[in-house]
Amino acid sequence: MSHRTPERPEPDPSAEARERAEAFAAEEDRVLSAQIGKSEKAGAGPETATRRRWKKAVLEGITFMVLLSPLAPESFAQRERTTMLPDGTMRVRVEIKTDPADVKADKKKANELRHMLDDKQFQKQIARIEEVYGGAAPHFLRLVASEENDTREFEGVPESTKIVRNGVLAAQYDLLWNKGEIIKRAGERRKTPRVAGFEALPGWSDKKAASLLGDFPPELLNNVDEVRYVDEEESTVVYSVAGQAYSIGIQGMLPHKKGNDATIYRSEGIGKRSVLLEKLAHEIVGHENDWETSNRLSMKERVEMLDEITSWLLDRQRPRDEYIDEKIPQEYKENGWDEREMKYRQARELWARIIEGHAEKFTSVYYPELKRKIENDPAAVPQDVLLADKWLNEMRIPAYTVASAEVRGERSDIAEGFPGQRP
Amino acid sequence: MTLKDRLAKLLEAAGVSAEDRNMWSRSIDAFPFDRAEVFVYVLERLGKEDTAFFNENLKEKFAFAWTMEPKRLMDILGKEKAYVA
Repeated sequence: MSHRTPERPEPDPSAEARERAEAFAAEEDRVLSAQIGKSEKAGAGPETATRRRWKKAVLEGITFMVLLSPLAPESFAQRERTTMLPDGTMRVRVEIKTDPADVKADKKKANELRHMLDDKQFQKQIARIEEVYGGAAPHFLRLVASEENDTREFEGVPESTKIVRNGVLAAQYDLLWNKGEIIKRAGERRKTPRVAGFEALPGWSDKKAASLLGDFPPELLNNVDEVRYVDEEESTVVYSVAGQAYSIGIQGMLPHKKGNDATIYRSEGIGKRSVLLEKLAHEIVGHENDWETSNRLSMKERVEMLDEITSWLLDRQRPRDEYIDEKIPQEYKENGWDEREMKYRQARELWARIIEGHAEKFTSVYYPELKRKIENDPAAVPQDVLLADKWLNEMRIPAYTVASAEVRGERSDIAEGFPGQRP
Repeated sequence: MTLKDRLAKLLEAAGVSAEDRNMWSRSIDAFPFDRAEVFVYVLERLGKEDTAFFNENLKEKFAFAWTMEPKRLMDILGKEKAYVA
């Protein structure tokens, strides 16, 4: 039995705080818009009016940053221990577990986290990623670095402090590294995306579009809140945009109600089933299920996936793609944007393009056929399809598989070699 | 110069501490890249005193978002309202 204080059920402060913050965002827009309207009526010149609107935009942008900041996972992992007080100070509740079983379990998780961070292969993958993308590398790598720091400096620390620190590391491990816990949490989010706007697309309806989307595995859709069709053409200076994914990034790992959104724009042939399927595959299955946005990958897998896609991006054998290899570089050149950020953008787009290019193969109708081909003759299957299959499978592991593995006494971390889950 | 370099430069010019600059640098990842570009572009065109206000506001909003303190919400809104006027 554990002896924690206090031992009482509490509401999830993280979810409640988030709701309040979202309400704040709405209230802020109401207050600031009215204020700007009032001062403009009073005769502000165009330059002053522009500055006011910019200030409003930045203030609202800051609210958005706070809601979705990568700092949130750390706050979440610590949420039961810390309370910010109105005077700006922080109250930290320190609990020392006395039940040997709890202490042992936390220590085991902390050691597992250390073991994963110290893994030579993992460190090589991170080094390769940092070499290619530098400062444009995804922010979750900074979470890895901060966890590396947290696991160090245990020498000469009193036993009670070690117990507390192991408890913190165990919480971080369960949140971001423990595949079994991650899949269980993702499985609790039973959601299918809201589909809207497709009535404006000739020959389509929201119901029909939802049915088409339903051809993809539900596990790849359940971190998406809404898919909307907008009957307008959208373009950059270089190319037309067929769709856009609005992702909350690694925040998808938190058990709050907000997920990702995606928009599909009018583009050539979009009314055809095959074209719409490809665009949905690109935005939803691709962009909402990559190393940044998936809510079903462990940190170890995120790093491995990005490393593998980066290798494929840089592989000279990779078939050229006009969008990846010409249009994106042209866009970055014309805007004078950073080359490493361009590379990172190419990697994310490459993953989505692989899924788009083989969309039909990953639907429930055609996937069994692909699976047979991969099992019988993997050498005959293109490398990009093998890559997509490997990672989509990693994200398709259903929650009940984790539960049944635990019942059978198998390992709860199913990241490696769970029977039947990998080709 | 990367987007984060540009952000760090404008924050440093406004006298924002290294610790706070780190908070900005990590938080800007919340934006999709194209939105972050616009955000930094606008910040670069506003004044240093604006950046100092935004820095204070970012910290206040963090404190608000992770607590449930209605008074703090009213304080922040009041300051913002006066600021855009």
